[in-house]
Amino acid sequence: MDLIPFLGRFHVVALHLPIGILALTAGLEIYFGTSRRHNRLEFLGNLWLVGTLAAFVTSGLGYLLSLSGGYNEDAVTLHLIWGVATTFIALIGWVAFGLTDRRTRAWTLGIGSAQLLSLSFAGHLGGNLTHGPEYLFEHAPNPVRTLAGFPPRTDPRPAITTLDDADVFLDVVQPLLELRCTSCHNPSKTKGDLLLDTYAHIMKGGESGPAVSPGDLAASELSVRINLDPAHDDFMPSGGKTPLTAAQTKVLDWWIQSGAPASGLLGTLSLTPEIHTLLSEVLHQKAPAPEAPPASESVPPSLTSDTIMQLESLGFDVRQLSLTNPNLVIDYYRVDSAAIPDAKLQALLVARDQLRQLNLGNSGLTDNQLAIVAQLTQLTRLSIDRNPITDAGIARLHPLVNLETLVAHSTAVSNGALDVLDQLPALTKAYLWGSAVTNVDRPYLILGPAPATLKPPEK
Amino acid sequence: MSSPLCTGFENPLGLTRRSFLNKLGMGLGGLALADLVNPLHALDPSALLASTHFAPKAKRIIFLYQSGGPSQMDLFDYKPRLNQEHGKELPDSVRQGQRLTGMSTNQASLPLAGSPFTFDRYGQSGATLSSVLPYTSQVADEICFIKSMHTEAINHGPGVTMMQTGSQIPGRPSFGSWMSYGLGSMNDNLPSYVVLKTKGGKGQPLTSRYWDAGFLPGKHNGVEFRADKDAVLYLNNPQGISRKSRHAAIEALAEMQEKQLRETSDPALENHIAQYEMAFRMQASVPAVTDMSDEPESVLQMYGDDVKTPGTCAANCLMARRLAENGVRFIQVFHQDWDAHANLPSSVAHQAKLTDQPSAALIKDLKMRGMLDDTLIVWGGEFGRTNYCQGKMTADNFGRDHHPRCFTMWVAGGGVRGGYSHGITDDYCYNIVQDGVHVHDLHATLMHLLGINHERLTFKYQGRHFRLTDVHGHVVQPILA
Repeated sequence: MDLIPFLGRFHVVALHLPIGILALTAGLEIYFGTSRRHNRLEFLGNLWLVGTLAAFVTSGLGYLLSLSGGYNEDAVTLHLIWGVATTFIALIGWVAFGLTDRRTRAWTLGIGSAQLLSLSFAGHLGGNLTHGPEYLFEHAPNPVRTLAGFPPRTDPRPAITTLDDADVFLDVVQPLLELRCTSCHNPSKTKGDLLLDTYAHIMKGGESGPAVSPGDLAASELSVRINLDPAHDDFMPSGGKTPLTAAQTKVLDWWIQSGAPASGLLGTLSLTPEIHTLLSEVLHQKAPAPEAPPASESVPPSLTSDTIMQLESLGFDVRQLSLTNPNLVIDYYRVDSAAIPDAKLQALLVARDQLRQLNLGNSGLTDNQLAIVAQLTQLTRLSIDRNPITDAGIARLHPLVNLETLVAHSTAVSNGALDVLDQLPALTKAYLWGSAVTNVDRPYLILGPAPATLKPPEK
Repeated sequence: MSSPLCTGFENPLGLTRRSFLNKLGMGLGGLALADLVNPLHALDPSALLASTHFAPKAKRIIFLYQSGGPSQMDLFDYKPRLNQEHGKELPDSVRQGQRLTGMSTNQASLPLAGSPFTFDRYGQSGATLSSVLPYTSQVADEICFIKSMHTEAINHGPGVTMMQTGSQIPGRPSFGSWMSYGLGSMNDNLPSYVVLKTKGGKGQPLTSRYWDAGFLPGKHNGVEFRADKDAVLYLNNPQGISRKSRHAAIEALAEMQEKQLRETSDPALENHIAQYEMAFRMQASVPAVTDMSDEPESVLQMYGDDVKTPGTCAANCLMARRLAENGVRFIQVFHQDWDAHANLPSSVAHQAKLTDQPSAALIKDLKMRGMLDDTLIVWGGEFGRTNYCQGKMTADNFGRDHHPRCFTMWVAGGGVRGGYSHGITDDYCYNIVQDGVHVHDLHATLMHLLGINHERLTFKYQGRHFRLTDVHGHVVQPILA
């Protein structure tokens, strides 16, 4: 549903209204509450209501925006709490000063300043979410930065022109850690009690022990974690964040193995040709452009739920491959003895970009209908077993260039179909047991166990 | 609005005070949005998860449940030391004061008993298997043996309940029901969880609570298919009632129930309607799927001669394949009588003869149909057996008691590392030395292969979010392909 992110983004437009209205209202309320020179404007009570409504709408839109994700959850929660607090205080303001009349000095000062305070906090936290916590003080003079809790500005290191002039820590190791590690292992997040922002912190380690033990890879938790199988629970970077490349991993290992020096020009270190190549690779593409994924791995747009429901209502079992992968797996089990009609197969074409695995086993599928199926060119697995399929049907499958597995057992297919299957570039398995295909030499051909193995082995 | 029934279930229509405040506090506008947040939710009303958490390796499970506790050291876990020390006393250093069952705790002596069967290595992987499993040994390279299974239960009731539901105490939903609830059905004409039992099984009874949906909606109950004229009891119309008339009756009933549903929001009613409609569809689909007359002779031969006798383990294994082929998500084939307290040599050999060929045939059969790619086969029971003799030990006869501290199970198929043996038990086959796998871990791993994060499939009942693995379970990474 695109409606949620669409509405959500109006949060950043709408938010200026409650800030303006409530700041003015609360400010005026405090002014009138303390000033003897002016009488309070009667209209101020209504302004509280307007501000409350604006804050309410803004909070709602903000919640929608948070649903589309992409923000630090803790920061969002904090912002949400202050946002809701702002709305509630505005509501109290309206009840106290608009609906009823409680304008004692304590109430005006209390509610008014609470309102200004919560507005500022909520607004500031929101600003940090959008622009990053560094934004506000990025160009502040150093004394102000120190006051605000930021480290003094440092000049960026000049770009490296030759490998020999690069510093092993400042130009090689630290940029790698900043690229992939410090988004979680920094002073404001400190996952696993580990900081990877400075040399001293790296050496200090975290709750799993020392991150780096100079010269000893096995004792260096950092090396162990980045070298695990990415599916492993302990793999780093965790949570599916972009992992280090093979070269980057090897360079970090090399650094640890060389005793994890805190500084030193690469030119003064003895480098094997292999490390030399890796270093230049790492230095020249710190953020390698993602390679264009092969056709079958690229991520198509999700089908809308309406489309999926339509397919479901035709008797297809439609499963999205995973929460994050919009590719589809579709099974069809017929309700009665009626063969699958052309119209249902045509309906599948809306999913031609998403459909990876299709099971039409025992659906009564015919040779001619395979011409429709052959338009689903993203298919990697197709099951058409137990159907009246012949070589003429298989011949129609030549557009399926991504097909890896074809299940066509218990059909009338014969050796004539193998010429077509030979031409399918991705094909690795063709299950043809129970067809007329005989045991010929094809790497992809699977015909089931030889009759001899059906008997117990001779002892 | 009438007050919700005091059932422990969340009221699906009305809001409790707590959930109201929760929603209001957590996000303004959350009230109206609850249904919008996951628009995919509405897709498959039979499934909770619109999509699995990650890409699944398997679509379905066939669980060959070996009830009674197969003897691990006579089938899979070769322990020559037991033969060397045959007749000697079980060392206290091995038993470590473990409590035994009431059946052997009063024995004056606990003599070690070596396996009466010979063992050999099979396949490229060199898996060690007993001579009573000649067919399984042919497919050893497809199989991942978990030799370090363990459980807490020491008797059948709690043990089977643990394996089936993740808890020793009856009442939780069964594994199959959880999968039906989470993944939904693939074929709307058949239940998503079907149970088959070897006919005439003796020993500890297998009651329907083992495949019950517990607090999950009743439509996720396992449905038992029997080897009888009526595969499903009470499914067919009584004499004199036509299919048309039955259909009209069910429709009229559904109409009334829907009216009542709008007024009372009783979740049981929704189930009722779904169940009646499913039963009506099954009147046509069940006879079709259970009629095995179209199976070619070569396939029947694979499963062995028993396959022609309905209700045998062989016939049930073949039936399991047919159900899998027709989109049943979770199929459980129960075989009883592994409980060899006495006469173990003849009893284990006999049970192995009944189950070995069909189990191996199922692997081969699925493999040649391309279904082993996305089907998981699980083989095993609730616990293992003791290394010492229960009762009288004679030259060629003895028995073994229940043993929960280690036992062997095997898995094969979608996403499983075939030709691999996981975990090591000690030389006495009493304790686990390395890589223990608890029942919870097995559940977590099987769910992982189906694409589900076992920590994220929950059902709220009596104010608590329940899981199959409760608060336990780790995915056993090494057994994944």
